[in-house]
Amino acid sequence: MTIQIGRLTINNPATVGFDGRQLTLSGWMSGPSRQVVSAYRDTLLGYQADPDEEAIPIVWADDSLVDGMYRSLMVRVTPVVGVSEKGTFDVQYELSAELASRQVALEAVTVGGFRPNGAGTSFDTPAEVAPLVGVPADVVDYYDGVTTSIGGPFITTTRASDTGSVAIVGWGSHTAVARRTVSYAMPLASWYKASCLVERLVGSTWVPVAGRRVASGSSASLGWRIGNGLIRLSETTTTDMTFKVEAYDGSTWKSTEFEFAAAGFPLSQLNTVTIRRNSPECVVVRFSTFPNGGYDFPTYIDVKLSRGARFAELHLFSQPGQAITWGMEWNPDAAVTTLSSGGNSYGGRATTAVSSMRNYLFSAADVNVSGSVSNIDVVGSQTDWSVAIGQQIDSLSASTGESFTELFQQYLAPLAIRQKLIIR
Amino acid sequence: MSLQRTVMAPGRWTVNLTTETPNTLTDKLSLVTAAGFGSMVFLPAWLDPIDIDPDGLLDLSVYTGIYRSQEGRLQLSGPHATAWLADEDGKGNLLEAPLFSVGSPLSNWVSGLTPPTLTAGTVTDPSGSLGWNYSWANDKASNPREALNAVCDWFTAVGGSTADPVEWEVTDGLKLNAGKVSAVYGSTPSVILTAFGDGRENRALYGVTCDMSLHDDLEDYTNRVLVADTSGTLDDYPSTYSSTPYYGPDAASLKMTRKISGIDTGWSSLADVAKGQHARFNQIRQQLTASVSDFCLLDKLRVGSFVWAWDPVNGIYDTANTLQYSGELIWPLKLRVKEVDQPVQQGMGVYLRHYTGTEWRVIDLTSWVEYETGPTQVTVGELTQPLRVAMQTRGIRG
Repeated sequence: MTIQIGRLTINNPATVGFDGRQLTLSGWMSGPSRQVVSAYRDTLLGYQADPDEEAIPIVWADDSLVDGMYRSLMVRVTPVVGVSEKGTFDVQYELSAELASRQVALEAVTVGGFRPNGAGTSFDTPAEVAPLVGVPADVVDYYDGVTTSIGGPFITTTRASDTGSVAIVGWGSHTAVARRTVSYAMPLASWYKASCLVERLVGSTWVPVAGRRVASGSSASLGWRIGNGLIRLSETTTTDMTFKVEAYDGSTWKSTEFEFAAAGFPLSQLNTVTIRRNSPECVVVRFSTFPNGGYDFPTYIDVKLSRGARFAELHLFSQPGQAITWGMEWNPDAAVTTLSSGGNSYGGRATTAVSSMRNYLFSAADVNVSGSVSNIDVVGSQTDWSVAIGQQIDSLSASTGESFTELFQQYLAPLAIRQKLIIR
Repeated sequence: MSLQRTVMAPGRWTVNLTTETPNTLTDKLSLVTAAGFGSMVFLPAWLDPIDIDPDGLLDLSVYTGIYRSQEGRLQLSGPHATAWLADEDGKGNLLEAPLFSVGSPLSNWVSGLTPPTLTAGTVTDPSGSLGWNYSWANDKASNPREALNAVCDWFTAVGGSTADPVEWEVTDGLKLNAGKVSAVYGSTPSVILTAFGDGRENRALYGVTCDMSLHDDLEDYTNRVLVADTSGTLDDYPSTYSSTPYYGPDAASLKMTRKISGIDTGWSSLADVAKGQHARFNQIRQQLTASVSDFCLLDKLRVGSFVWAWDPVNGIYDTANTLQYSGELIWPLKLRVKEVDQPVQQGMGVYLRHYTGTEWRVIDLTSWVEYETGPTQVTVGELTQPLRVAMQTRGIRG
């Protein structure tokens, strides 16, 4: 039997103590290699004082008595000392946590709804934007923060992720940047459904990262991946920096690549990976790199991925006041056409009909964007640039919330979301 | 033991020395010796005083105090250098000769009111020319600090605004600046206070992780102001009580009147004073206190400057401001730093600079300071928005 601690599922603990509020566990984590066990150990340690995930689910298959959301974890582990008699590598751990709630009832404070367009103003026409909140499809008691009538949430669509269905809930009518306190509840087992996730590659195994500390060995290129069950991003080459973008079409992952350039030079392989936020509703990772040729100034790419989103929001910037020309190329080049509507005047671009179920989008919230679809440049030299990369799925494009026009509206309506446990 | 710096107020500092401090040194520091009223200078790092001239020391200072008190052998304290305008009791280098002008810009008034202990800084004139007859015997302004306050109030009403008032600042380099807040401190924040993350943002915005707590009160709430000048002339604003969401126990709309008398007849308009005071007090007073563990925050955060604050879970946001920070678009609240209370932290440099009568002397106290490890308290606010429906889009209640 096993016990789930956050994203980790490990062997039964050797000792369990529970007084109705305080839980103490101790036991061993085992794995096939020293590196994998070390990664599990890092994940467990990452839950301590995690600023982004204040409480995590603990579920014990043997006895549901302890099941619930826990916070204030104290974790202590031993180093990996060697191979055991069973041929596995073991780590001893101790953990104590305080029960926050047996149920998962949440409030999500959301602010936003309109994105600046790079020229100092916002997309301020309600028809241009479509703020959405992604929650596990089996949430209950959903309240959108403004509607006074009793009824179900305004679900735009339901998307199939590889970790469970996610309901995409719209804001409905709104006319300005606003703050709403959305509330809902969900089964304990749904905490990580379609959630955002940072992973590190250990051998050939992707291991979840908890907290913001990047474990040693994963700060180099190629050792990271972020995803939300709908799309996931990683890096593919060790020369010029190339984002591999994979999209989940409901049954399989399809991939393509995007490259970026600054000051006329392709950005180099990523130097550092810094986790700026790592919560189920949103992850943000900052990468550093530099234009590969002629310039050696640091260049940063912030990547934000929200629960339920079919695109990642990228923000590229360099040194303060360093205005440069930014560029992006879709690779492999393919026959593409420019989108004729859906915010095109703001630089939105999309590929179309590349092949069935593989229809990637990139779109920029910037008035200065021009160029062909497969090779996009910012005309005006500027200090920073915002762009989205993701996918539109052909078979769903006629569905509400899934056409490129609507996906672009969703990109133009960013929300800052923080969710917290409440007691009803 | 801390360094307290407050906008347009004397502030306070205290330093404890370790018991290992040589008596020969503390004897020198005794108030009865020549070190009294010397400048206690705090730097964000230790520098060998041999490498710095006494004036250069002030240029590098993040906090300059006046050494004025010694408790026992090892505790030193005093006010911030702002007290050179006038200390907590109003004592100082008072201007005994009357200062009179039929109409002068702010810079002339600041120049005339600057005591010799300070030097001229940067004064950016707002619009308006003040005609006034200043004398130390005037109840309204019996010392340079109060006179500057009165002058700034006048220029705020005429050439500034509630959101961008005219203020003065004594720098740690012992200079006197004045002008609209946006001119003295700039209007673009370089620091963001947030509960969620830290680190520099493109080296132009410094993120400070902190615990924030909010304070709301109606202690000074007023919805009508009566004013009287020294000759007995009366005025008011507004003519009836301004609308209010509050009710008294009689189930009638609240009537809260503030009376201000003794206004100097030199002011040009009693009505403007009444209007200004109404705008100032017709609101919920809101203060945000942030508890920060960063090293030497005073080196990064200028007291009086604007900062961003972002904690939407606790209602700290403003839908009017969009900011790209840490990979996310956020909508932070823009507030002014009213006060910083920072411990003297290990790693800082601490010096006493004083004039012996014949030469400048700098005593390096860095090795003997009993350093502290507690958090730095930052008080920001008050919000200057009048009480209105817009409170739902800005500030504390969502």
